[in-house]
Amino acid sequence: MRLYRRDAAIHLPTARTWLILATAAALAVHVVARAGDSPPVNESGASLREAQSAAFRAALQNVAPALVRIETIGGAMPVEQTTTPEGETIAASGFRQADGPTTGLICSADGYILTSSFNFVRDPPVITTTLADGRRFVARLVARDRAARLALLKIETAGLPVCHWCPPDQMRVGQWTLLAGYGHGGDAHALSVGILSALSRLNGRALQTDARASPANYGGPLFDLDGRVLGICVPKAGQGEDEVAGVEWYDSGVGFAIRSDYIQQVLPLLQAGRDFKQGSFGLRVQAADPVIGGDPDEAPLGGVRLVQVLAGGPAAEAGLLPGDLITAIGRQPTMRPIDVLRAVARIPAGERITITYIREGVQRTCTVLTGDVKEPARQQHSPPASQPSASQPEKAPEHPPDAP
Amino acid sequence: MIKPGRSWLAFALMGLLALRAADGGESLPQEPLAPAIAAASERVVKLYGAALGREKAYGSGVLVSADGQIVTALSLILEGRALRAVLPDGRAFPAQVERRDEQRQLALLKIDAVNLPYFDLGDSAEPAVGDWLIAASNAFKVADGPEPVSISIGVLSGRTNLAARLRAQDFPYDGPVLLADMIISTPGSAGGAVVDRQGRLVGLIGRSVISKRTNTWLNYALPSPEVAAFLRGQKYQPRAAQAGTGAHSAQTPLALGIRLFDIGGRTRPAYVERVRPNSPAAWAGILPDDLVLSVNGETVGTCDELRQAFASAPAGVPLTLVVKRGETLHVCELVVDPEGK
Repeated sequence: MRLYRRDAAIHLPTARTWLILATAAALAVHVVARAGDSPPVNESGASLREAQSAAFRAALQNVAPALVRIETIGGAMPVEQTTTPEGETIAASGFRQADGPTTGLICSADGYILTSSFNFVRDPPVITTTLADGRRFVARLVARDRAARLALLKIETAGLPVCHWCPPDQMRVGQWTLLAGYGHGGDAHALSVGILSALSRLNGRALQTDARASPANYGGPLFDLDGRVLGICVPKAGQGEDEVAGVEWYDSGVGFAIRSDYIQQVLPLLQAGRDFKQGSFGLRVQAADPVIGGDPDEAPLGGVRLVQVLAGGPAAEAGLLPGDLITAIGRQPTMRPIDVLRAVARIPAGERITITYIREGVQRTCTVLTGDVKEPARQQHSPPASQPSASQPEKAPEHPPDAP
Repeated sequence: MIKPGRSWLAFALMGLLALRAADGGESLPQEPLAPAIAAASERVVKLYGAALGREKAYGSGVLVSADGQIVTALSLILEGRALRAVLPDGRAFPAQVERRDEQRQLALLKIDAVNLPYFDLGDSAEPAVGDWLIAASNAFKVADGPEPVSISIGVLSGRTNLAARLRAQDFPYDGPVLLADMIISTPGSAGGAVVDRQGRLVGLIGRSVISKRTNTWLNYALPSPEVAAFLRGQKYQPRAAQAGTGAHSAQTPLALGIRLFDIGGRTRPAYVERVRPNSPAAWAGILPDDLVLSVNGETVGTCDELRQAFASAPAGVPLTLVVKRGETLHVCELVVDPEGK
């Protein structure tokens, strides 16, 4: 699937042009100021600020045709819970958790819409969408990826304007990144501006931004000054596996967006109507130690040591043993524990995957058939991964692995 | 890889830097927003009062006249006896509450001072989405004595009509607000200023409220025209009440021929159970089993919300309903009989 198109973005007088013009203007002003012998002026900086604002608006204008307002009707109504001083959890009062619209992004001309699964925690029976041109459609929830907090909707139509993806090799930490969403109500979307804080978070699934991510824009795009989409904004934080975990980090300056390349990888599965569930391997790798795991000199063989293999699990079935040094999962080399986590984060259950490993100095390969992990999103009190049992498939790779 | 456009920019910037260097480096390049920041800092006061309950006993206010009129957001600190306003130069004055506006949740204070810098509310501008804004407030009361208030910067996110709660209560103001892309919902920020690049007041930071739409603390400001209207003594009419006053239709679904499927359950989507023949609903083409999604553009999630929307709709104007029938949406216009039959 080739979805990246360098020339695809609609080139209005874009961001870059604005900045160039502004710089030129700034230069001119500066020269004039020197000639006129007036005090150091602010105009140069001021026009740069103006150019930035114009660039933000141009970016928004580029992405806006693919933005979708989503409304849900009915479904379970979670009530807000509070904890009493005695530590008892009670329902605070009867009001709804939130009742505003949410945001999605058209990713195919025939009506597939990417959004966040956060927007459907109530399992609403009716989902309607309003496109940028005002047309409304009933939408069907096609599939979810709860681990990445993504959801895919479908509306029955054709010829829609689609978003344009930014490939990861063109993303840079520090670049301007913007969020837009319909969550605050009204017909217009709200804009949030920040920079790209990190390229790889949450086992390689997500980008990090300091733009204000919140229910106002979860499900909406994180985009650059050309309006190209870097990822889909989702709530996610720390180790929380609950479907709404991470919302508590809203507006904090630590926001996440699921990377465009991850989305390309899971999209075919979602479009086929299948939820993405991360496959289990039934293995545990050495602790993610910055020295042992990170420095190739310290680990001359280059690989990740298996410290535990779950009896009867997929890895054991394939013949892997504790002590084996994993050097690649599929075509992904695994030099450090984080590489293992990143690789397995993208492999669904029921997939055959080749693992390359070194045992007794000899490189070997085996094929693992990944197992079905119990859905992580809905189990609020999962047993600690350090106590795997034969009946409960281990989901060790989800967590930073520790030596047992 | 540097694209041609980027390298152009880079050269231009280098040129600019070289010119700056040629100045002899006698001055640092001035922050372009400095004048606006200075204007805001000079016109925002810190408010302190007696603690009442758990409310933090501090806040912010903006000067709106040379003789010491201050607008702030309503809060419990105004109820204390020892209300003081501390000017940016460190002078402290006792402040009196002159007027309150329960609808806009604003208050007008007065201190006994003259020749103060102030915001001219006639001078307010309409910022565009994406324009840089500056917030100045006594957030977390970290500014001591003559220290200027805290400054933050962000863009205008957008505009919306407020739908919020203050604790468990509905917040009375439901009019237009500016959404700010910076954190101004913090303790002590309410009553602070949001200014544009020219230092003009574009909004007053409102009370910390939770948005009903997102269930999050909302970073918003009351637009300057609303603040000006308060100063002129103009009353604010909540939108809900506006719809309910005067020529208000007080329609019910039943009167227009719709019987709702309204039994049990905690969520009751507005499904139509029956349509009375020869009724406005029948003429509009509404059918049994239709699910009403919106009335005049407002989403209705439940039977109760549908009734509210009907009751508050303006009289004599057709009601526009969007209904879901099977997997398609239909727009139906209910023409209300002027004689109310």
